[in-house]
Amino acid sequence: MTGKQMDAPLPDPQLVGLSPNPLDIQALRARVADPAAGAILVFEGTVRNHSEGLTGVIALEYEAHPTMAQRVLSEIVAAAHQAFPIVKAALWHRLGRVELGQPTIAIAVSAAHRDEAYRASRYIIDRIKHEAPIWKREICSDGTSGWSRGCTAHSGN
Amino acid sequence: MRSVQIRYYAQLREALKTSAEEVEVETPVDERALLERLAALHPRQRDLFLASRIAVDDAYAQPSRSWQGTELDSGVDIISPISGG
Repeated sequence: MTGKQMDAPLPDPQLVGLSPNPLDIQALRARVADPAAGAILVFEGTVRNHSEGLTGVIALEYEAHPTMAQRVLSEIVAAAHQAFPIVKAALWHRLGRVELGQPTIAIAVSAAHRDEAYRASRYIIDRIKHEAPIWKREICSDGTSGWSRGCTAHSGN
Repeated sequence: MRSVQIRYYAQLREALKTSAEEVEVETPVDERALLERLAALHPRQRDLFLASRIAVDDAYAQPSRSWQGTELDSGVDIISPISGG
């Protein structure tokens, strides 16, 4: 493990990243495992077959700001460490095309107790939805596609 | 007036068919004024511009912040409505 977590600075880049490759959930989970943790929570956001006014979604395609996205994601994880007594947190977000049912984002949080893990995980995903400069295009089975209208259209997941 | 590089992503880049352009901007300028200026240049995308945020040096602009000019030398990113997660 390279990710020794400090209080204030941004997290180790290996704990926070954007990847064009399928997310390895077990590998992400391993990054937050710690003897001090009594709870490990792994949240996955996945591609679903419908969206606001749309049916037949078969894939999503993600694009991120080339430098700012990593910075914003890292700041959110650092803020979660400030806000909650968690042990470690890690998140990976997909880039490019993600097929139906596959994870688009994974967030792993370890904490001494489950409550902090749940609260920190929710905090992280909610802030990502509102702040991360990441965009997705919805690709439908009829061959059409379009950019998602934004996080306000996606309350809840 | 000052020439500022404006960079576009996702839906705005596709709608405008360009990832960047140089725009003459009156300074000082704040987020709202800049977005209004761009919306005036590209009226068909007005709603998208006015729903966007701007970022300078990889950080979102505070709505109350205004720039005299040189701080904008690294350009401005237009962050159209996001949909990550």
